[in-house]
Amino acid sequence: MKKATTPSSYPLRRWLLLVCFLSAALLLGGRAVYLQLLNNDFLKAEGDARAVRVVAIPAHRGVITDRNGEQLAMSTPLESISVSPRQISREAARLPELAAALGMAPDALRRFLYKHKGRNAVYLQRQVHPDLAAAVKRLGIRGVRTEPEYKRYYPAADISAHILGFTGIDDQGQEGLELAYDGWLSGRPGKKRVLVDRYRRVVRDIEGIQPARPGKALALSIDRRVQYLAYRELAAAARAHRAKGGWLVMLDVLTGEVMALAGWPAYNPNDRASLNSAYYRNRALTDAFEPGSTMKPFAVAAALESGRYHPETEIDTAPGYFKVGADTVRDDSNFGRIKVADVLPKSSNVGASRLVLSLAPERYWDLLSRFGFGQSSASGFPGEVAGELRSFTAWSRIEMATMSFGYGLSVTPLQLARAYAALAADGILRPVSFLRADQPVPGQRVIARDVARQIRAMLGKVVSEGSGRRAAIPGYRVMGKTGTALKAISGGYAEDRYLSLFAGIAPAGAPRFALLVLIDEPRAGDTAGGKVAAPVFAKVMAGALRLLNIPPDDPAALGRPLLTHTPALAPEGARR
Amino acid sequence: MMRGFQYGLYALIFCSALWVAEARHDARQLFVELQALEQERDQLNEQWVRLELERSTWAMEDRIEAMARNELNMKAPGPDSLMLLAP
Repeated sequence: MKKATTPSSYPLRRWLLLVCFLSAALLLGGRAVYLQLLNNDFLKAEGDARAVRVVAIPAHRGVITDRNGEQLAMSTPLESISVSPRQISREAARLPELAAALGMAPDALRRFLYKHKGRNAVYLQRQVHPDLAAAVKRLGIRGVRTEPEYKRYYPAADISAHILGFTGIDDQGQEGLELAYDGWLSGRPGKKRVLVDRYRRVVRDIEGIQPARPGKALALSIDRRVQYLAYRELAAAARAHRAKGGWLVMLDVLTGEVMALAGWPAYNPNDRASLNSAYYRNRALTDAFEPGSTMKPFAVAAALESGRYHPETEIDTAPGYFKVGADTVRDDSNFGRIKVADVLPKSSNVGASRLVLSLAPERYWDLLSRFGFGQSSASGFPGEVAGELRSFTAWSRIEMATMSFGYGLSVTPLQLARAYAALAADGILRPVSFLRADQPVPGQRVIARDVARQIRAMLGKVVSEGSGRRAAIPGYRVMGKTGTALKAISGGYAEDRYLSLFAGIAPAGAPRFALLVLIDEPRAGDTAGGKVAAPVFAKVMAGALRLLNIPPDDPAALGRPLLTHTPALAPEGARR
Repeated sequence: MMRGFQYGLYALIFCSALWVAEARHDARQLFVELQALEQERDQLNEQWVRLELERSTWAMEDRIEAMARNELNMKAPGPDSLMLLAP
């Protein structure tokens, strides 16, 4: 037997193994260093992509109020419910529960999900009440999410619909002032970074990226009380006369603010399903029409301004008609020789035509364009039209004659109201504003003060003894002009379709408001502006003067003495 | 002398490390509180909007007028029942 050999140390093998382990350790260590220190940006990004989300912070749209801060439009928070068809396919057993919560048939829900199966997220329902959204959330079904959103609500509904317009489902202005001031009203949603778990539930906020900026509030110039009154009276008159429609514009003479602007028929902006494009146009600004006799004051103003006439100048209107070329201008009857001051109370077409025809066309055109006819009123309202006032170089004599009594040019109701407001403001034309003016608004002089006052005196006579008697308001002196215009149709004028108008100013002593009433195609017998539109003027103006505390300028007409001593009332009133 | 200064600095560094940890913790707690308060604010705002809307709807002129006329038998005073006080 050989002597047992001592186990050999195999130094080579040992070293080999050692080197192997060492290099493996170095490799791992190097990899660790590489991942931790050199390549960590990539890994961090990957990690963040799985756990960090940027979510939107909703910002609500600004409130629209009237001049006294009464709400006209506000956004109320609601929720939208969306679903990820891919995720929910694993929870098929719970679909009936979800369908029941949403008030849907389970089959309908299944079909809906199948239709959108490839999508990441689809809306199930939008603008639902927060309570419903909370109930759905409580079901805890994977893949169903709720998100806050807003719905615009208009408490005054149809009453202010034409001014405000409305917003779309994504809270963006689509019509009216909602569209005009969309940038001001709409909020900018914020963004923040959050940490989510594997069910995409937010676990923690990390940082805000951009703060949400809510929309700014907008204070309009209209007075909700006056607006309501205007809408109610306009609608009542339009219904009573079986009219096709009606429009009313009321301006503050001193600031050019729109106090009320009503249209009928209107629509309810809260009920999206009922929105009908035929009704939502604000035709007080987007439609021009031939205004008829309500244009006569501007013909007389042009005559007075020329210096060749004064209110007492006599003109001959006999025999009640006169020929201009092949056409004839007619009056309702033969007024004979009348003063310039009587052209408006008698509403003489012949008188107005004769006055204008004796003037240079450019002077008459100049006066009309100074009063804002043929130009946009700069109100900023979407879709406002300028009307039509053709250049005097293209006028024929008969055109000039018919323009004096309101045919052959077209104006919007707003333009007409604004021009009357300029007469009321002693000849200062102001820009029209739908926003509350907190400071006095500078205007532009368009006619001499004396001429404006002379015209106003004539307009006063229209109401006190002319065709506008029904516009009278007890206790106040009212001025205005009636108009009954034939509607133009293709190829001429319809014989049985009228616009009934009344444009007026009150109170006469210190004019505050200009109001235009237009009834489109009254079909219940009466068509005259003095019978159809003037009573609406009287009711709305009387109510507005009372609501806005404007004292009667003609208290004697009430037939009762003023109370100068009121000892019994004073202490009692003071105690209260 | 120099060495004492060094130890002092080490102590300060240690303290500031503790202070950083403390501040982190505080910040986190305050953040949680802020979140809760913001949520409460949003909820109160939403509630205010809803209530304001409700008030505005109840206060609509047509409703007030209908109630005044029909339930309370009120009417607008005519010129005969008005009295004017001289200013």
